[in-house]
Amino acid sequence: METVQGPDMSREARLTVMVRQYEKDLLRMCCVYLRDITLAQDAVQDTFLKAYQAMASFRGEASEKTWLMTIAMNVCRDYRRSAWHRYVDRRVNLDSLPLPVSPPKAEHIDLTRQIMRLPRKHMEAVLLYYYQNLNIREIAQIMGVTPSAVSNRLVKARKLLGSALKGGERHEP
Amino acid sequence: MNPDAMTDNPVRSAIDDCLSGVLALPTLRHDILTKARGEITVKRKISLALVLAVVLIMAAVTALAVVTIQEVARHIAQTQQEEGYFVDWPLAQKTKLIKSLGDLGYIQQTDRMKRLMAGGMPEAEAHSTADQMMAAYTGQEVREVSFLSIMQVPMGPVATWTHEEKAWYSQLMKEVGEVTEGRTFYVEPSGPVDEAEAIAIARREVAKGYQVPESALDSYDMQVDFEIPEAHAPGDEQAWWHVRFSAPEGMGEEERLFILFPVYVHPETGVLMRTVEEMMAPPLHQRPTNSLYQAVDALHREAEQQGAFSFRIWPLELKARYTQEIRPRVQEILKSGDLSDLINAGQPDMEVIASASFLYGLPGEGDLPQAEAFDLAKGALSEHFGIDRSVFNRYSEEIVFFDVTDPERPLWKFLFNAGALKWNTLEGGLDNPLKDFSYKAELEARTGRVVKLEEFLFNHSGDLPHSLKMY
Repeated sequence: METVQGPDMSREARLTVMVRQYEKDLLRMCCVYLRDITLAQDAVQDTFLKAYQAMASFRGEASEKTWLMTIAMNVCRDYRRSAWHRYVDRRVNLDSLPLPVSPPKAEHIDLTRQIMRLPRKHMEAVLLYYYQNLNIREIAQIMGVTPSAVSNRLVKARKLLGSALKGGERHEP
Repeated sequence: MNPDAMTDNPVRSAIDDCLSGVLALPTLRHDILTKARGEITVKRKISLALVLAVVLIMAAVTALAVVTIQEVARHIAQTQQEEGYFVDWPLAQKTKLIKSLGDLGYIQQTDRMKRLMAGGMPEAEAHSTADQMMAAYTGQEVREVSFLSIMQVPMGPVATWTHEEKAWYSQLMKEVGEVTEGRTFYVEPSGPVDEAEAIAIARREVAKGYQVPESALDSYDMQVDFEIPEAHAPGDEQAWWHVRFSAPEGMGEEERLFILFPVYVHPETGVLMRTVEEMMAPPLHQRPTNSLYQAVDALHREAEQQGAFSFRIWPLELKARYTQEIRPRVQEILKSGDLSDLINAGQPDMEVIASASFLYGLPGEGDLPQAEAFDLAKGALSEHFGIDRSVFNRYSEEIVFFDVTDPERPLWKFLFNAGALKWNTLEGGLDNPLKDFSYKAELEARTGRVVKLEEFLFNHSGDLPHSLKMY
């Protein structure tokens, strides 16, 4: 298991490694979650800052990635709860995001929009499971629910997303 | 790693494909490390008590801190009461506030700030500099910089304030004369029933009322205040625990018990102000549940998922679907003369009827793009009614219709609804007459020719001719 603490790395060096490793995925995940590139950039910055500040108290009960995603989810929830976020029109609009490197496929645009429209708890489960490749137990730890609740949310999310994610239930060890 | 990580992962492919242009800024690592090392003050939520403690220590040790955040807050509240929002303050008050925030360490002492404080700048430049500094400090447009936006920087969002902080806020507003009847007044908690017990009582009673286990409320957001409710009669100063349960964003109609359920718990007795059963009594008029309304509401739910809570701000695609799926049914009912399926709250439902009065579609290749038409509309309204063009950028919602009632002559219609005007950004605020008027422009979609410009008073008369002006 990879952990943040290590005998040969200073806090800054560990932070640098973490930023390099997770920044892109984290930024894209926050972008989907918050539907706003600027907010997403702030959320990523806040996430790493909180991680930096809390590094000393991180005891390695979870993997580094799980720990970081827990912080990121909390930051994103805080942002979504803020009064400012509620009063700004946040219709799902991929056009306001930076231009993609090449034109995305139509089915990819459709699926991304559908994910953005999912209810919060279902979207979190989908992003952590499919985008961050975390397992059910790790997601349960992040979301503060039981593994069965995570599975339940993924099932509902798959239903809401329609055929795109069909392919049968999977069983975790 | 989960099993899907090793198989085709459509979510990852889709997001990476659509967001391939979203890359971490090259400066991100540098910014994070700089902030982590404490070279820049990081905005964060700190309690008023901590702010005060830090200020007192600073004052005692260095004798440099000449104000406290409480004094700053009083200055802002008093000045706002007398002058309005920050943007309209006299220069002396603006610079006084910025200096205080600088002394307290909330605004960095830059060269620009020093030049502003030195007083040598021309007045217009000084105003502009002060405005820009406060916009940057609060992260809001300068016209929206107010007491709360300024104080939420050191204290965090209002929703996270402690009961003591909210009580301090209410008391301060009262002292500067900002309190009016019908406004919630927060006070410090008192009485034998504490917050935890009030929450437990509220959960128990709501769960009992809905005949669900208390755990069914776990997924609801909850906010708790200790307050003299805004609905209290003048002179009634009994404070209550106000526990509010609200369905989280995105919780569907079929899975939620309610959208919002407020409970008032007496701090001495634990008795509820109104029982849950009383609160759950059915409303006098319920929304019809016939097949027409089921179809209408299905579209509304789709729009809500996109953040659009009224027909007028629906995306063009959904308005076009309304025309295809709902309009023929409404027209059929109207033709039949039997309006019973359109009766809502005892009256013919003007919203459903008005929404189905015109045919809406989507612009084609030969039509002006929406942005271009919008620009023309603003220019025409500005010129015709002699209103500064910038006013038309101060609406919180953009209402647009693509009207294909005459398929040979489609129209772009833009409505600037009085209810959406950010009146606090206007000169004179609520006294500015613009806040009472709505404006509408209609343009031929193919040529851009203006065919109708309207100005009308905002009202809730509910009659069809007035309703149609809004569509």
